[in-house]
Amino acid sequence: MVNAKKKISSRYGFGKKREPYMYLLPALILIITFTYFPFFKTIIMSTFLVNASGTAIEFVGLENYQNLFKDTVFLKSIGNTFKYVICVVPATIAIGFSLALMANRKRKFSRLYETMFSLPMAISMSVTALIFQLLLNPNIGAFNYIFHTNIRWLTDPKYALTAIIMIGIWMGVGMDFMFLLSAVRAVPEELLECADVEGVGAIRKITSIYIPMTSPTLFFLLCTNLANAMMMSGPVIVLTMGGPNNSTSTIIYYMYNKAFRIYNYGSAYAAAVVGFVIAFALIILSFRFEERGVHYA
Amino acid sequence: MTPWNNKKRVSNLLIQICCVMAGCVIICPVLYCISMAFMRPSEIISSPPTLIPGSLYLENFYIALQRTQIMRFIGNSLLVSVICSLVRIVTASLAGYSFAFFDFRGKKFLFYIVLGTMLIPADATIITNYFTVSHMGLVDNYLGIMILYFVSAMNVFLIRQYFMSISKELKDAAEIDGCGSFRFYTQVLLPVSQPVLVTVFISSFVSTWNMYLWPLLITNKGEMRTVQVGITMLNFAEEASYGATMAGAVIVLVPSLLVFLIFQKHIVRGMTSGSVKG
Repeated sequence: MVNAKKKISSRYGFGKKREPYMYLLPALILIITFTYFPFFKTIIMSTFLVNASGTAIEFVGLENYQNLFKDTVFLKSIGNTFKYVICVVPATIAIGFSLALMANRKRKFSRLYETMFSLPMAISMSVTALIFQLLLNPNIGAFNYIFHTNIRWLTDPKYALTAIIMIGIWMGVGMDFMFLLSAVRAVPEELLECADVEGVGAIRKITSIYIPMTSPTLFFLLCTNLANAMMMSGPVIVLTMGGPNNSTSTIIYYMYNKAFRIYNYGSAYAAAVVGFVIAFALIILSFRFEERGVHYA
Repeated sequence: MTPWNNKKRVSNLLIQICCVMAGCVIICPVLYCISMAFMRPSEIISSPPTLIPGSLYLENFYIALQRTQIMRFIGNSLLVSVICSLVRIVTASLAGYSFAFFDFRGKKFLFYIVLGTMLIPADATIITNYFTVSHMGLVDNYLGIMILYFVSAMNVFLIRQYFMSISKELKDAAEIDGCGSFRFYTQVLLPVSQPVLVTVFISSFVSTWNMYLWPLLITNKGEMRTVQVGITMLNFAEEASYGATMAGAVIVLVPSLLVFLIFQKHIVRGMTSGSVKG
């Protein structure tokens, strides 16, 4: 009798022990199959010679990487990616921050212009790309007409990346504004009143109150924007296919092109690993920055 | 009225005018798109460019609907986004339940495993995922489009945070009343967590609706395309048919704008949660 009771309770205990793992199972299976497994497999495959149907043939060590770094198109893609990141990330954050400061105090038309500022968030990448394709069309687009320029935006190697950068900034502004608006509005009123009493100017107020007080949000945006910009490929696929003359090819576009259009998987895997490494490096770098510059209230 | 007060009112007005003007500059590509969608081909290719259509010309919409399966694309996207978002609620709330209400070995480690996925750029794993999914025979299949998006670490994190704010005594009380753990999850926890579930649903819906690279790779047949991929096929070669392209863009744009305007709060909350240190 006692034995039986013990058995039941231990069985019950065993089930209880397994229970939390059962709840985690669906999420874990998906995460392992579609994130960790491909992550490690990509690293392993990058050291193999891979045929055009995607099968690994023989171990070649770092040969894929040697070929990759000999390929001027890849080097150009890295350069383009960095140019894109260096222009888009600071510009979107700066514009978003300025708009947030402008919209800070609630006024009669606040809701109207807050919605206008955040609207780019609602427009998907493909639609944005199509709109800008027409807007930047050298013959019939409005951009050249309004600014009295005569530039073949998406077909001139000198300007194509600039066009992609403009599109990237436009796509990112809405989200950065939204985040920064709530951060700017959370700055304590007393602090600003104090500054007013002391007669602190507007610029000093921004540099010594607004920027430090919103630094956690700025830091978060820096991280997410860096990660997104580093992995940018969408507008390039829709608008330029990396051209003209590889002037808009990015790391992920290079990977996509090698894998799915040329079937050179060795280079594609190696390029993907370079993508991982750069993403990690940026995350570490931004955490170093966080230690020095971010204030948590 | 004192002069000081007057001055303040003027500056207040000026700032508002500046803001609305800046807002117009930001949304002008969208207005441009809408305006072009209603233009006759002759107006579109005119030089200097016309900015406002002379009349509401609807032929472009007709062409966009005729020449492509745009309604089918929208249907595909709706299906994919709704199912993905629902599955995400299930996987994320189960995982969040486990992390928030149970103590077990390896909990911290498993939690970091989940959060660690945020450090791995999804686009860089896409080749291997393509092989995995195509070996499952899921090319040109709805499940193939969706399967990569069935779980999101951000959602797990958000739901866990919310669950942690619910007192554990509620669960203990329920258990004393003979309510099992799973019943507690379905009948008590999920109903009281409705706000966070709505947030997860809407932010997931928006992000899956907007995905591009993966659906582009995993679908070959026209009728399986999602709207983001399909819309770029409206990219006709001749300049005169830009009107139809823009009409297609408007057809896609309007539902997203409506969703955005109605659910703005949820979308922002779903995204900002990640910026709060937990």
